[in-house]
Amino acid sequence: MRLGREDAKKVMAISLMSAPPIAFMAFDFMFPNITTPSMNKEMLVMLAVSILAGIPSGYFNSRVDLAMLSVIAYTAIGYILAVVYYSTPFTLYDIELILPGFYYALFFRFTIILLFIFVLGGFMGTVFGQLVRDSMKREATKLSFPPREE
Amino acid sequence: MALLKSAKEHWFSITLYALFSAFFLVAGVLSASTYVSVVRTLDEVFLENASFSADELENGSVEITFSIDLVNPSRYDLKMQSIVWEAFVTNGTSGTGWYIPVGSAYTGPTSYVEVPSGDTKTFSYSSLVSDPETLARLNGLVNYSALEGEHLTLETLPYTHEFYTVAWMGDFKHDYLREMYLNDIVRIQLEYSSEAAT
Repeated sequence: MRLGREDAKKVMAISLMSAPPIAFMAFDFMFPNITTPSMNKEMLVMLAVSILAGIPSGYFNSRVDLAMLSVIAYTAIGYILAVVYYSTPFTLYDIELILPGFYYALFFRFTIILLFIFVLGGFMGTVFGQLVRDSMKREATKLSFPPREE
Repeated sequence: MALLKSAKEHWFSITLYALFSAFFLVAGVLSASTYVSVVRTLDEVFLENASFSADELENGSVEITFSIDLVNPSRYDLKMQSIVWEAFVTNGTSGTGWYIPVGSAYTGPTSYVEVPSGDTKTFSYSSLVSDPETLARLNGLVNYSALEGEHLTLETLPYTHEFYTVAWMGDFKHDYLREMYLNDIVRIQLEYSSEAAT
């Protein structure tokens, strides 16, 4: 897979833009009672938002490999951002408030399920984004070159 | 440059994308801020100014009083789930009946007691011990102390006061049965014991 400078910039931009929904969903999954607005651990809603988050990587990337790379990159960045959200009070206040093993028990325990949903939804979104892009291009081409009237 | 050109070309899609991203970024930051406040509240709320006394009345009864302040400097109102006060004397000299209760009170969630944000609430209790049986046991302890050379009275007996309370922060949901940690995050438990304080 060749990755040019412009491609890398595009992947990075998409990763940064799509990371916040992933971060929020991961955080919300841990604390649905204090987040606003909460998805209440509804897996279908999370899958739907993951699809939405994945659409831009398909829409703005014509190359499938780059689109998939974007999905993996924004999922990773989003999850890291969620860990940052989770750690905020303990970096600002008393670190001893955190129960031993809390990080592992609460945050990393569900990693596989969450990442599966985020990545699967992202890929589905990518496919949808590419379909939309191709369809819009076809429409634009049709409008630019109208069929000649006999 | 090519990226900017492409962004200009797809300005509508980019705007929608930015709004989508910003919405979740704001929601994430707000939620993290709420989380910080919740954790801070767990640390901030405390009990103070506990005071208690025992007064012997002319008719021989004893009036036991207790009061304590619950200080809530947090940004959340505290909804009291249960408030328990108990006063007793322990008589370590006898095997059975070592525990002599002299007062107790319980307030449950249906009383809807609240401690507003930034406020201090004083919980005061009193109990009149006039039951002859309890008084006889207390007097027995007084007499025994005289034999031991301590010369305690009904007013100076070592009454123990215990205060225990559970409260919920704000309006956060807290009826999780399987995921108890979600309840723990928004639950405040405070306790005071005059025995531990002395």
